[in-house]
Amino acid sequence: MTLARPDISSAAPFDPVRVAPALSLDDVLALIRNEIQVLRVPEFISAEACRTISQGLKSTGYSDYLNAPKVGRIGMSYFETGRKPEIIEHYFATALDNLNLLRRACDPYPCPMDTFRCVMDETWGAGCTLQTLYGRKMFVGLSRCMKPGIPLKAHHDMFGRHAPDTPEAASLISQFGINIYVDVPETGGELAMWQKEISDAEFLDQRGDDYAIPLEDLPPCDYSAKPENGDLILFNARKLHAVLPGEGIDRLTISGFLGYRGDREPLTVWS
Amino acid sequence: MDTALSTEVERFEASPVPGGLPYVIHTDKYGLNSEHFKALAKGEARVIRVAAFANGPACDLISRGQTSLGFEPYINVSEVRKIGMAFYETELKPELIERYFVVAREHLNDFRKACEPFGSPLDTLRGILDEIWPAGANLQTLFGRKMFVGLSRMVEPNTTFLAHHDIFSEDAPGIEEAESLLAQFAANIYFQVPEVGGELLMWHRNMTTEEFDRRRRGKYGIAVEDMPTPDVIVKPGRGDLLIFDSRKIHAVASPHDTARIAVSFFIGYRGDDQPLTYWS
Repeated sequence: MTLARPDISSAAPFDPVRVAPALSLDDVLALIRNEIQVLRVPEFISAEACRTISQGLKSTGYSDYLNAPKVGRIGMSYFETGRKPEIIEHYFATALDNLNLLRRACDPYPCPMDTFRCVMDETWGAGCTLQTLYGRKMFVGLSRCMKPGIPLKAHHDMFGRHAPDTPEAASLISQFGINIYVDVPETGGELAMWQKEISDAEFLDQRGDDYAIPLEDLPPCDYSAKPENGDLILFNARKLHAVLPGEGIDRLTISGFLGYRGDREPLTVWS
Repeated sequence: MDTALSTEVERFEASPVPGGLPYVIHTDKYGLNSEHFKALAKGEARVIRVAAFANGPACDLISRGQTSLGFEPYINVSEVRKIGMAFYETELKPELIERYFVVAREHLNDFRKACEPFGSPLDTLRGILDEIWPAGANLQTLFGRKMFVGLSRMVEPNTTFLAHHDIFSEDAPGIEEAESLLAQFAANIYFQVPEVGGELLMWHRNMTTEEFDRRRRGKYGIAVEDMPTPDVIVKPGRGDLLIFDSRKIHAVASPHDTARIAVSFFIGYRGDDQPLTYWS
């Protein structure tokens, strides 16, 4: 890559974090074109919805990731399959049930991921659809619970690592994280990001046996976004990112990925 | 007529079509699957009934929200009141088509506002359709622009929704997106239903456009009295979602006590391996 990139370390006017009143095509394009790295849409869901959904999620109950202890989740991330056939089978076998589990937890509110999928389908010319892999529907809407004081260590998300040699992963041009914040602590819980992208090999080397890179092994983040209840945040998931430890309460989110394959191709979502 | 209709509902719902399936497939929100849509597309069923798709408090809130947004008559059907604009209303007039697309996004968000603080059950349905249908489901585009989905409609007491069929290629003749449809379904989520009346009435016999145009005598549809006894009668409950073959002649019996309020749209089918699309 020889193109000149904005140097954010020199306090240039470039602001990688944009706050917008609603999800718009221009802002999604700005993410795609690498003009911004984080798009934050406050009040994507209402405060009342957050309260009800938070209760619903807690009573549905969180259990830990198979491969990232201390991170509770409802639903399953494809990341957890670790390319093991029996776990991949379990992922697909439970995908639709998990989508409905999330809906039940949010009831009587619609699951915010449904609203996001619809708004994206309305916004993007070629529409937005649930990702399929090996001819099967993926799950989207993973809800995560971060306990106070526990960070989500620094990582980047590369669909290709988890689904190697698939046209679905090979055709991806960009991968964005989708987070809808249902209950967040007053202090902490920021989404932290690093501007420099590293190769997946470099990442795997740096994380060693851990699921991701401990924050203390990295320089301070280059920028961060402090989410509030009801926010929607989209961000470039190929950059290293982490969640800083929160204080006081559990941090509950509903999350997924958004895949871009070109301006005339549908966007896709999955977890 | 309506009292007789009510007593007939159960019998009609239980009677099979020649293929052996009942006319009405009963399921729930989480039981809806692609086979149901294939059965409708093949003419093996007429109606999918999803009981209590929206819950009671949501229905009350949404029908109040819709009412406060304000219903207005169709441009070309003064007896039926709605929020949003149906493509049918454009009658392919360029200025109305332009208006349809310009206000599409605004009307999409109007319905979401009507649902506040809850949220739109239509968004849930769109998510479910995208999941259960192998090739996914998307908002229909036309002329490269996003269509509107989610027309709120009110049928007031003592008015009838005349017998008609909905065929996209009649509203958009010669246009690829409409001509490519192999089947068209109408979907309604009911937020307020009358105690008496408000049944969906359907007839099996296909009617050519020529016959339909002759029999409607200048109106948008045919008076129910001028039709034979309906072949399928379904009385929706509050919160129910009905999805039915819109190319069959259908009507709504007059509500007696309160208005029937629903959100309605179409679902287009172009084959088992093609995405479903939806629009209003």
